[in-house]
Amino acid sequence: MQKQAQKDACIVPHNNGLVVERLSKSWGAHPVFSNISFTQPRGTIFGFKGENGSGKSTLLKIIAGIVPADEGEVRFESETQNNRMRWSLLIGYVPQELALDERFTVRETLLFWAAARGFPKNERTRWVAIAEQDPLISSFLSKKISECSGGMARRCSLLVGLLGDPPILLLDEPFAGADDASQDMMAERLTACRARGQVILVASHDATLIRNLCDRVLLLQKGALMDEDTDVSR
Amino acid sequence: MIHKSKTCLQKIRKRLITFGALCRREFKLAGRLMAIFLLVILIIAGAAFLFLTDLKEARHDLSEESSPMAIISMSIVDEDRSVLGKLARDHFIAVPYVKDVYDDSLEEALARLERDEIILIFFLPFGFFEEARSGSATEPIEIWLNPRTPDEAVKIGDLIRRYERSGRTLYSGLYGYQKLYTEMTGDEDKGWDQTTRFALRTAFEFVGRFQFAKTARVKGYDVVIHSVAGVLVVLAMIPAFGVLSATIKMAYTSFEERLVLASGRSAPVLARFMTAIAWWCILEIPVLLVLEKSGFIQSATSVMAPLFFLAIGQMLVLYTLGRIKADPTTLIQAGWLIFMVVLILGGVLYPTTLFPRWLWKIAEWSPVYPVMCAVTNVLQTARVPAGMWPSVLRPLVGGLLAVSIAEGARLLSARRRHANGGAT
Repeated sequence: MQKQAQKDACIVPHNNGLVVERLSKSWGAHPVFSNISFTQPRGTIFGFKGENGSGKSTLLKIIAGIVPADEGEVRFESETQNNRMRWSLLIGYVPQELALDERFTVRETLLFWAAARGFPKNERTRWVAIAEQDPLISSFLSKKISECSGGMARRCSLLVGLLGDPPILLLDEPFAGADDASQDMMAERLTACRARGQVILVASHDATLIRNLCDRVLLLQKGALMDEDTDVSR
Repeated sequence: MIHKSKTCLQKIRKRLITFGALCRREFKLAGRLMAIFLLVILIIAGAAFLFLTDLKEARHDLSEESSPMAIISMSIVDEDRSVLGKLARDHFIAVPYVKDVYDDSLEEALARLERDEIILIFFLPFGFFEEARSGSATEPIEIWLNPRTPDEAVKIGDLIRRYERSGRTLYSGLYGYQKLYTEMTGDEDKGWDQTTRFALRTAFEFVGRFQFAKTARVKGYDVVIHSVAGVLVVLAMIPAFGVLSATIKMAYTSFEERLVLASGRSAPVLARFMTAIAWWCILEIPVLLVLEKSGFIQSATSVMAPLFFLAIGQMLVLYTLGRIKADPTTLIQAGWLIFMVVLILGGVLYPTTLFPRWLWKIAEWSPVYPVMCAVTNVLQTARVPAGMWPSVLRPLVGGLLAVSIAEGARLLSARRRHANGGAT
C-alpha cells in the first residue's frame, strides 16, 4: 500500500492541467456549442450540467479525441491532440452507455481493455490483482457483464476507465442506473483520484450529485458555457 | 538513435499486444461457431471426396480414351493434290477419335496397313476435284479398311455410309439448286458457277464448324466445372457478411468509441478482417483439398490467390457499406443485393454467354467475372493463364477504391466543417 502511495505521488503534480480554448462544434447544420474555453488544474473535479442535446457528451468526446472539433484546441500541460496515440494514453473515458462486451466476465473485461490499451502481460496481471483487492469490484470479478446489476456494471465501466491511471478522466453520466451504494463507492473513488492529482470531468443530469462531488459546476446552455457557483466542502 | 529505436520497438510491441487482444476477442466470440462449421465442412468434404472420385471416373470413361468409337490412325493418299486433300486432313485431325493422320503414297499407306499401324486409307484419285466441279467425276474416293480390325471396320463403314447418304442428299440438293437458278435466270453457265460456289461454301462451313469454339476464350461449357467454380466463388464471398454484420453492430456505438480511443481506428478493423479470413480458410481450404485429392484440380494453391483476392475485395466493399449511417436491416439487404448482382454479372449462376450481347459486355467488367474465368480455367487446365492476372486483381482494386472513396468523403466533410468554423 505504501509503495502504491509513493507511486501515486509520482502522478505528477505539474502546472496548468487541462486547457480548453475556443472549442466549437456543429453536427451538419445544427450548431452544438461555440467558443467554449476553460482551464482545469490537476486535482479537481469539474461537473457539466445541461439539458438533453446541450452538448455535454460531445464536449467530453472532443476532449477525449474521439470526435474532432470544428474549431479550437485542447491541451494538457505540454501535450496536444495532434499526437493521437500519446493523447489517448492520457485519457480515461467512461461513456454514457456501458460500452462493455456482455459475453465477458468482469475479470476478462479488465484484461481485454488493459490489452487493448497495449499494456504488457505483467501489467495486465497487476491490474487484475489490484482489482481483486478493490472493494469496488472484487466481489463479482467472475460474473459475466450480462449477469451484473446496473450498479455493478457501472463500477466495472468506471474501473475500465481508470486502467493505467490516466491523468484525465472523462465520465459521461457515470452514476446513471447505479444504486445508492454503488454511487457512493464510485464517488469515493473519484475523490481519491482527485487527491492523486487527476483531472476529472463529469457530465451529469444529477444536480445534487454534481454539487456534492464537484469543485466547480459548469452549465452548457444554448451553445455557451457558463459557471454555476457551487459551495462544495470536501 | 538507440532511444528512438527503443521507442519504435515499444510502439510496435504495444500495437501487437493491442491487435492480439482484439483478435482474441473476435475469435472468442466466433470460435465455437468456427469449430462447428469446420467439423460440418470436413464431413461434407469427406462425402464429396467419394462422390467426386466416382464422378471423375465416370467423366474419364466418357473421355476420348474410351469413346464409343475406337481410337484409330489413318493415312490420306492424296493423288489429286487439290484443296480437298487439305480440307480432308484438317477435318480428320479435328475428329476426337482419330489419333494419327499420315500423308502417304498408296504404297506407303498399304505398307502401314499391313503392319497394322493404321485402320483406314482415305484415297483421293487424280483429277477428282476438277471432275467433281463439273459434275463428271469417274474415279471415286476410295476408302480402304484393315481386314484384321473387323469391329472398327464395321463402325467406320457405318459412319461412311451415313456421310455418303448425307453427301448424296447434298448432291441432289445442289442439282436442284442449279436447276432452280437456271430456271429463274435463264443462264445455265452462271447456274453451274453459283452451284459450285454454294457447294464449296457448304463444305467449308461444315469443315470449319469448330473454328469459333477453338479460338474462343471460353472453352467448351462443362456444367460440372461451372458448378464447382461457382461454389468456390460463393464460398469466397460469404465471410464478408461477417465483416458487414460486425461493422454494423459496432459502428458509431460507445463501445467503438472506447475501442478507438484505446487501440486506434485500424486495429479493430484489421482484427475483424482476420476473423473473416479465418472463416475463408475454414470454408475454402477443405473444399480445395478435396478437389485436389480427388483429381479435379492438380494443385489447390493455383486457385487460392484469385479466390483470396475476391474475398478481401468483398470484405472491403461490405465494410464500407457497414459504415454508412442507415438502418441496419437496410444495410444488410443492400449487402445481399450487391452479392446477388455481382454473382449474376460475374457468370456464377449462369454462364455469361446466355446474356444478351450488351449485358455480356457489362458482365466482362464486373469484379467477379475474371475470378470466375480464372477458377474455371484452373479446373480445366490446372493453371491461371498469365494474361488473366491483372484482371483477377479487380475485386481487390474495387474494394480498395470503395474504402478510399468513403474515407476521402469523410475527410472532405471534416475539412469543410473546419473551414466553415462550426456553429452559428
